Amino acid sequence: MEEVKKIFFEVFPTLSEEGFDWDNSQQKYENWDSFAHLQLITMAEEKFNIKISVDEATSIITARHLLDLITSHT
Amino acid sequence: MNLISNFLANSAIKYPKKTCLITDNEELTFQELQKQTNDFSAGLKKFPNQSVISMLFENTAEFVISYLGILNAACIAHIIPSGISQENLQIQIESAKPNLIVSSKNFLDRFNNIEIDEIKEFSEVSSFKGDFEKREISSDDFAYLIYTSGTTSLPKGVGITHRNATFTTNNIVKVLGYNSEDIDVVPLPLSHSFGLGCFHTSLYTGSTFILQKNSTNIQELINSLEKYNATTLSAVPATLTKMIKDISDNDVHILSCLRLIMTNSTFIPTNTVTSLKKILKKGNLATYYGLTEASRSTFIIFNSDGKEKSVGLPAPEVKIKLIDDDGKIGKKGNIWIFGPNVISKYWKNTKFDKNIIDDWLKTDDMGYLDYDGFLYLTGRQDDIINVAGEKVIPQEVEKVVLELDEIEEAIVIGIKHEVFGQVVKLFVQKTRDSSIGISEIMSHCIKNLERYKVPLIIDFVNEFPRTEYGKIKRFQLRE
Repeated sequence: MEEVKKIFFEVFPTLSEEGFDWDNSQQKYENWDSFAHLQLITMAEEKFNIKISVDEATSIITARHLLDLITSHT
Repeated sequence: MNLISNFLANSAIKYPKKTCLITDNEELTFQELQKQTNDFSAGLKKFPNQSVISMLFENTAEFVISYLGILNAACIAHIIPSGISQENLQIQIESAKPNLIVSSKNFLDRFNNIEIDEIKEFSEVSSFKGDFEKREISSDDFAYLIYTSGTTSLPKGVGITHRNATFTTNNIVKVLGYNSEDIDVVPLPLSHSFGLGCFHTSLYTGSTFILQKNSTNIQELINSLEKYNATTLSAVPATLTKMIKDISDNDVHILSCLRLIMTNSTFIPTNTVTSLKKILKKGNLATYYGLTEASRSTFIIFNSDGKEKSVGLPAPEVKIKLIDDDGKIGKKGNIWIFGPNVISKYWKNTKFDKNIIDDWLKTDDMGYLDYDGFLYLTGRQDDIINVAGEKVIPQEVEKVVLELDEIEEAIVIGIKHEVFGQVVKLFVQKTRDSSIGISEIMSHCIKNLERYKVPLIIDFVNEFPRTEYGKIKRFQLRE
């Protein structure tokens, strides 16, 4: 769980501990654009040695979604 | 008359007994070099003016004698780098179509499976019995032919006339103050225009030229500077950066005695510039920007602060203009060069001739000018990556990645992407024993670059494909 959270802090360096919420949606992030999205996917794939499909990738709109996806793959 | 061959002839008259050339195992005076050059030229008697003679040697006296002998015989020296791949050798020979190939003994078998007219080992030409008959040479005759290294495409031939080369030599002397008292240590291949330009300069001024084979043996280089009481050193930035790493007090003292360190236009780490400026108490550090087809187009002597990242001002009688994407002349864009150092056309290559318009050469190097007119390089036009309409200059990303201690080398290219058109792909070579991972590199890039510039794909490589001159072949990484 902490590792997934770490990915969010790496992709969004300005994100504060207080500002993080597992259920915050994409719109609540100032700079969760398509590049950030791809970076989240790439980091998750690399850190957990998994492959995320295009359909799975497009379904992620919160940190919890990514966490659930990673859990289902590992 | 503006001829390279006159450089030696004049210096041999002025300083006949003075040492002209020192290599690993030979030492020649101007008079001796002139005599051996004439003997070599006599061996080329049967070849008419402007015949192409290909030559393949390492940095040796044989190289120097063959080169000057070919020019003296009014022929064109096609200079082949000694580290050439078999594939590029074949390409160059097919394009240059030499009437003769001259080579050192150890390279003769490189031509075994290549269709050629005639090949001779150095001594077969130099030992020819007969007198040299002086030939008419025009300033606009080709002196030598070099194939560019091919970092962005396959090699292209660049024919340099005597006029081009003598103009450049004059500028080097004018701007950097080379003179007959100099002792020049040069750990650069003579097959490249940086090294060859240094050699022309020594020959022209009548200084002593110490030619080194190996640029990676730093201790040997420093020993040479000390042994010969060198006054100048010309070396690529990588050699200089390596040299000042873990430098001893004694080595600092040796370097501090130099009046000039000359380097070239590839990226020089700012730390290297700052450290060398500190070491060179009385001397100067200088660099230039140029291409084989427009040699030494700018110069800068780093004697004041604030311009460490610049490649300088245009050389005397050379003009530079920058053209932006809309075709307008401005302070930023594609670098175009005009001047007597610029070739009038490529060697039998109409495709690239289109880059020369009204005597202006379009370099495809990108850059900008500051308010003082100093030029800065930012990258290559053909390397620019277009991510969803945003331009990414690979060198900017590479510099950020190289800030990480465990990265030895970093190269960025653009690759096709369904949504963004292109995205950034990074190739990295890690330092030995490094355990750095993709996420650490990516995280560093996210912190230091705009979002669209962050590499989305990162591949680790053991080594990069390189040209004969050691430059990384970006175009091969794209394949």
